[in-house]
Order: sequence, then structure tokens, then C-alpha cells
Amino acid sequence: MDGQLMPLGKVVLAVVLLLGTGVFADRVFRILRLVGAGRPEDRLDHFWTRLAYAIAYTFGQSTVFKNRVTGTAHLAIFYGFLVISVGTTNLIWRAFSGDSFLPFITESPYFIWLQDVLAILVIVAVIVNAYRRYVLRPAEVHNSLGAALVLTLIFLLMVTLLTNEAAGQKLASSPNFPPAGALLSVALAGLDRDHLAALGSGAWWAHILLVLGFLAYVPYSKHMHLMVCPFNQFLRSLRPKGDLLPALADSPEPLGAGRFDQLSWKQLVDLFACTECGRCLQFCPAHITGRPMAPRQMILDMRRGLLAQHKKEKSAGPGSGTPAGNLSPKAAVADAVGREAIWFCTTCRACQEHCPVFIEHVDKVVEARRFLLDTEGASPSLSKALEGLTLLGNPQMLPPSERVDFMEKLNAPLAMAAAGHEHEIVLWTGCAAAYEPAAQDAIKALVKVLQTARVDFAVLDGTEKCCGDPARRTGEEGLFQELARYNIEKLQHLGVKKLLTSCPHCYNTLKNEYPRFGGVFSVIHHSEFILGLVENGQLELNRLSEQSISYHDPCYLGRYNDVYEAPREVLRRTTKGAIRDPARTRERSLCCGGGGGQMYLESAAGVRANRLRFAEVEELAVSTLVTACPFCKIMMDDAARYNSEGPKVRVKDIAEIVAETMAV
Amino acid sequence: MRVQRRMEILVCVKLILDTRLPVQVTEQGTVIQGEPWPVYVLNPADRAALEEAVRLRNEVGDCRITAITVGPARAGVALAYCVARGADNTVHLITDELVQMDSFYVARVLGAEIRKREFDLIMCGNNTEDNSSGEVGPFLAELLDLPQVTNVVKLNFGSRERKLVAERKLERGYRQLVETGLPALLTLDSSICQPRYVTVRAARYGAKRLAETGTIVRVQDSSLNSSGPSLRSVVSVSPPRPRPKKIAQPDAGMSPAERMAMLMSGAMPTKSSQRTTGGPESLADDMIAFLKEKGLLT
Repeated sequence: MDGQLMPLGKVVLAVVLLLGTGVFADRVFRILRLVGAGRPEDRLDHFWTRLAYAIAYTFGQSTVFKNRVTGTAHLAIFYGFLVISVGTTNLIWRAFSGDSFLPFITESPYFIWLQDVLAILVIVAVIVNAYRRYVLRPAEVHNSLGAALVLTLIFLLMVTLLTNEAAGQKLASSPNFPPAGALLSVALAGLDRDHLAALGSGAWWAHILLVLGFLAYVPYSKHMHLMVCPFNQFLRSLRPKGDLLPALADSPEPLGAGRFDQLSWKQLVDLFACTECGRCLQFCPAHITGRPMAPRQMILDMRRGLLAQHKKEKSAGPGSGTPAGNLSPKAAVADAVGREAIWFCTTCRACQEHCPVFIEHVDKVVEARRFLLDTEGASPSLSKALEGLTLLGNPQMLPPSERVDFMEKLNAPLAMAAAGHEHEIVLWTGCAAAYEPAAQDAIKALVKVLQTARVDFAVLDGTEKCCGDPARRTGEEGLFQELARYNIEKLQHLGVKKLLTSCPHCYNTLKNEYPRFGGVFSVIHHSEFILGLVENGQLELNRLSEQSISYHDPCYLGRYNDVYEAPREVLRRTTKGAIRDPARTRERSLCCGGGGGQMYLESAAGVRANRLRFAEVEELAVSTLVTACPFCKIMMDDAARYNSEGPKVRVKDIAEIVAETMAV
Repeated sequence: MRVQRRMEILVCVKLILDTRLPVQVTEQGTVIQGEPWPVYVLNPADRAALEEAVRLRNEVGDCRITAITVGPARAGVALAYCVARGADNTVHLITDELVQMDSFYVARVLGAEIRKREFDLIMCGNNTEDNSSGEVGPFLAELLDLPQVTNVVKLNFGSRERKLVAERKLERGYRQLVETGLPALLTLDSSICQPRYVTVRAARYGAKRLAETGTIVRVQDSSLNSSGPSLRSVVSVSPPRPRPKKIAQPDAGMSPAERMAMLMSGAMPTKSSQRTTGGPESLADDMIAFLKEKGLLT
């Protein structure tokens, strides 16, 4: 069908149009109200930067494109829909008025060609996606009814569009057939004008009904993402990746999110942005090891929980006398996901790194943990670690005097206030390095390296406390802030400007989280610092051995702070052999399983993440596994020792390898 | 148990130097910590008593918990913890920093204050980890003429009104079930429950509420005893002696022939040993099989 409708047709079309948009608008407004009930959070700062990001990500599709095949298919469908929605608007417009909508576009032969070609590409993309979904079936794909429905809808939309187009053009005897039109016109060759008109009209109505049906369905499905994503890209966090939002620790109420409206509105927007693509699952250590925690499921469960709670409150009615908050259980957010599940996250950030629509999983986990910890307490082992942090300033629950002794034994100058001499850099050892033997070796090696390179450095006297990372990631925000303030005051009193650390967790916290509390220091990780020493000739490394090395990327160094190259560059200079990366590496690196407080959380379910990761390294047949994080080292060392025939691969910190190979 | 009026629970607590850390004990019995900062904690058994009180309150509903401590100003930290963990009220009986108190003195100070109050139940830790006298609770019960149940490891309301059923820890794993009417005094073993972690946020709020609502009573020595706070004093404390290793010796119950045979053979009848090797999983399997074989595991 082409052109204006009969009056009755117009009435039918108007009714359908109102129905479709009505259902759509009703749902969207309800979702907006739910989102609006969230806690305030400023995500409208840096407006132009945000706009630029939103435009670049929406039209550039770079985040989707990280997977080439699905990225290309998505690109075709995205641009297909963009162009075809103009064409569809034109169809509806003309049905009412007889004139074209934006005639300079829609009447141009280029537009007709473009629309035609894109429609073919969309069909191809639908077939590719269906093949992937139902034949290849990658693990992360969840074949829901909704997914099948949407693929079918898109396919039918394109078929009806092209059929209508071809019939119309054949009727008009247009010589300028676009490709699909030409193809279809061959198929339609046997039809007379009446049949052609009927077919065109049928296809037209089918197309319009499908479009409006799709519109009404969108906010009820994962296809909500096509509306929410541009906004989510606009609203994405511009903070450093490793900086969590603080909570006010002087509050009479428990911190964190119990009810859904205690999440920030941005966190609630996230719930509707999820496309269920499953990229978050591919590198999630909790999911891979079979624990009942999967980032996608977490988001979907939260969405379901939020909508269910809304439904319950609505059915209770405004006149029932119960305030809305009373109906929802106290820990609704954690309950929606499962209370144990909340504690399995290692905060490794693999999900966020691979989420194409910038959903902030870790923030939600921490918000839920804050509430659970404050209202229900923690598991015995986590309680012990947190108590250690509170009383003794370390999660190992060991005497602070031991740290003081360890620092003395390092045989390095102490950083002192008003000493008259300002050291170039101060070494921040961190708790793991002060108390855990595996990490102590690394720090001793680092001290040796610094002394050999004649670096003017000093160490702290051991009265510093934990940086606060384990407290913050397990939801003990008040404790984190207390530790941060204590350390900041201490460092400022000593006049420290530059800090060197071998622990990526300390590194992230000191660098990205302390500035918010007034502690602005220049922080450098030892892998970067050693590379600097080598590059400016202060340290000479001999490529002594033939040993083959594999490097494990610590999450808080790589994904959180984008330091991937420095440690590798240092390693390349220590061996004549090859540096072999495990299968999952760099931003795809698999977490050792020790972060986010997991070091202090006992978990019975599933395989241990460190053993899974270590098995990946063992496959490479390397002699040494190097890492640049005390937690990773401890976890990997543990996995190496699990082998009853003795470790085949030795686990070393990068500082130890450097100390072994440096020219003295 | 359902009482008509509100139930009043008093929990007696003490702030101690954390004895999980390496400490030195002076000859006079003073505990010294060698840490860069002093590490004080709520005495574990008292903490468990408070936790248990909170549990009872949740069961009763209409119930008020008052935490009470005797000590210098810094002991207020213990009460702040109690407020954070759920105490409704606090009483701080402030003494001088330097005063040496024995258990009887503490019990009398507590008793003098408690006598002025209404209460149904007094809960104490059975022991403090610094002095380990375990006397304050029993002294207090005597002074107040109350029934007492010591070393409680399990606590429940009885089926009859105003009755409590307590399980007591005896020697060698024996347990005793005791029923008592109220009011009563209980001393609780720290194993009775796992105290919940209290967040810094809650602790800070507890401290703030403590400052606003806590009752502070300055202890007047003269009103208690003209002879001073302590009736007795520690003379010395000596470190534990290392335990001698046990050497196999013929049992006195053996017949002379058996004893001779044993001495001649050189040692105790040899225990059959079984050696097993393998990875952790197969080792664990072997151990389980062994334990099952011996009937130690079902």
C-alpha cells in the first residue's frame, strides 16, 4: 500500500497507534517513577563530555564491537532500525495526510535504496544471530522466549516492509528497483494488479501492526535497552574506575541499599539498560567457578525485584494506610539476588569492563554489602578480618608490633617528620607484605632492587594501618573512612608526597580513593617504577636465563588502573625466553579469587578460582608465573602447592624476578 | 515466657586489654601490651552475654537492656559498643584511673547501683580474660541475694512463666540443665553465641547516643568501704611452666607379667600405623575411610 488510507482505515490506524503508544508510554512512565524514587546522585556534571561519549558510543558502537561477529550484526540492526524508523514514520504519515514525511529525505531514491539495502542486512543479521543463538549456543547466551520473539519480530518487520515496497513499486511500474525490491518483483511477477494491491496493503498493515506491537513490547523486554542505553552511556561514571562512592558514616541509619529506593537513581537506570548479552559472564570468577553469583542474573534479579515490589505496593493501594516503604522487606535488594550471592563477588570488575552499556555491577554489590553488614553482621571469618582492621589496623588480625618489627628488619631509612631531608619516594608496604610470608619475600626483593638502583627512598615505621580496601569492598564504609583518615594524617604529618607500593589494592585506594578524603599523593606501582629505573639506566638487568614466563594481570592494576604494559616490558628485559600470556589475559584476565574481601570470606561452593586460573597457566608449560600483586601471589602460590607432586610452576612477584636478574 | 510488665535485663560488661595479642604480665598482675597503640576490647564473655540478651529481647519483645560497667572514663568505650549492638540504656560507674579494684569491690559497686534499680535478670560474662577470677558474678548474686547459674552455654525461656532454663558447662564435657525463677543472675560462657560484627557507623552512633543518654555515676568510695577498694592484692604472677612431655609408662593396672613383657619389649605395645600418600583429595578420602573403620565417623 502506498498513499493515503480510506477514512475507516484512518480510524483503525489511529486506534492502533494510540493503543501501541499508550501501552508504551504507560510502562515508560511507571519505570521513570521507579527510577526517580532512587537516591540522588550527580550524573549530570560535565554535560558536553557526557554528550560526546553518548553520541560516540551510541553511533560508534565500539563497546558492542569488542565481539566482531555480534558487533557487526548489531551494527546492521542498529542502523537498519534508525533508517527504517524514518521510513515507517513516513508510511504512517502518508496514510493520514497523503504527503511524505520529510519529503527531501524519504522521496530521495538514495533513501529508498539505503532502506532497502539495510533491510537486507538486518535480515542477514537476524539469521546470523539466530544461527549463533540456536546452533552455536555460546555459554553466555540465554535463549529466553523474549529473545526468540524479538528476532522473529525483526525478521517479519523487514519482510513486510520489503513486500510492501516491492508491491508498491511494481504497481507504479517504477524502473528504478532497489536490490531487494528487484528480487521480490521477480517473485511477484505472476500477480495481476489487484492481487499486487491486496498483497501490498496486507503487508503494509502487517508492518504497521508489528511496529506498534513491537513498540508496546519494548519496555517490557530486554529491548528496553535501545531506549535506555544512550542515556546510560551519557550517565556513565566519569570517576576513576577504582573509586567507589562514599557513604556518610555518621548516620543513625544503616548504610547502603536495603530497599531499592536506597540505590541511587543511576543504579536503578542500570537495571533497565541490561540487554542480557552475557558478556559480563565470560570472565566472572564467581560465575565460572560455579558459585551462585552471576552479574547478569544479579541485574535481572534486581530488575525483577524492583518491579515486583512496585506491583505489591500498587496493589496495596495508596488508601490502604501503609507507607510504601513498609511493604518492602528491609533487605529487598540483597533478597532479590540472594544474600549469599552478594558475598561471592571478588569486585574484579570483569563484568563492568565488558558490559557494552556501562552497567555498574560492583557499585551495586558494595551497596548491598554495606546494608547487610550494618544490619546483619558478617560471616565469622570476615568478622575476624574486620575486627582486625578496627583494632589492629590489619585484616590478618596480627599484632601491629609485628609490622613495626618487620619494617625495622627491612634495613631501610625511616620516613621521619621534619628530618631536614626529603626522600624521593616512600615505600608503602601494605598489610599483605608486612604479614604474609609470600608477600614479604616480594617486598624484601623490592627493597634490594631500590638499594641496588640507589634510589633515595624511605619506609614507614609500621604504625600505619591498612589502606582500607578490604573494608571498603566488603561494605564497611565507616571503617574504611576511619583508616583512610588515619593514614592520610600520618602521611601528611610525615610530609610524604610520593608513594611507591607493590600492592595494586593499596595502589588503587591511595591513588583513586584517598583524594576524596583530602589525601592527594603521587602514587606509583612498583612495576611502573622499576620500568622507569631500567629505562633511565639506574638499574641494569641481565637477560640471564632462558626461563619462560607467564604474567598474570592483577585486576586492580590492569582493569582498574590500565597498567598492562609496564610489568610486561620489565619482564621482557629479564629473560631470553618468551613471555606467554594465559588464554584469558589483560582486560580479559581471570581474577585470582582473592579480591573484594574474598581472601577473608570462606566459600564452600564451586571450584576455587585460584586453582582454575593456575590450571590455565600450567597449560602454557612455563617455568615461572609472575604477578605484581601480593594477593595474586598468595592465591597462585596456594594453587601451585595444591599439586601433590610439588609445584611445576614457581610463582614470583615481579620484584623478585628483577632482583634475581639485576646486575649488582 | 510472657511477663506482663516490661522485662528488665542488666548486662555487666568490662573493657579489657586485648589478650589475644602477645602481652606481658607484671609480677603485680598488670597486663602490658607492646603495641603502638593500646588495644582495648569488650571482654569476650561479656560480649556474648550482651549478644544473648539481645536475642532474649527479640524473643520477649517488651524488654529493655541496660549495660553497666565499673571503671575509669575510658571504659565508656565498652558501653558505646553495647549501645551499638543494641543496649537501650547504659550506666557507667566511674572510678579513678589508678584505683586497684578486686572482684569483691567491683561486685559491691555494681550491687550498690543495681539495688536502686528494677530488674528481672542480670547477665555477666563468666570470666574476664585479663584477671580470670570469675568471681564478680557470684559475688554480685550473693550481695543481691539472687539465685545464680554460672557457666551458661545455652539459654531458653522455660515453659512456665518467669522461668529460665539454662544449660551449664561442667567439667569434661558434662552438661547440666538448670531451671531458675526470676529475678536471677547468670554468668555466661563466651561460647554461648557468636557475637555479631558491629560496624564503625553503628559504633559511632552508639558513642553519640551514649554521650546523650548514658547515665554516669561517680563512685564514692567511702559509701562502700572505709578500708579502701581492695580487701586483697595480687602478690605475684608467674608465667606458665612448659608442660612435660608424656612418656609411655606401664599402667599400674597391668599385671606384673604384662608389665614385665612391656618393659622387656622396650615400649608400649606398638600402635599399628598406616601410611598413605597421594593428593589432598585422596588423602582426605583415606582419612575418612580410616575414621569410619574405627567407628569415629558415621
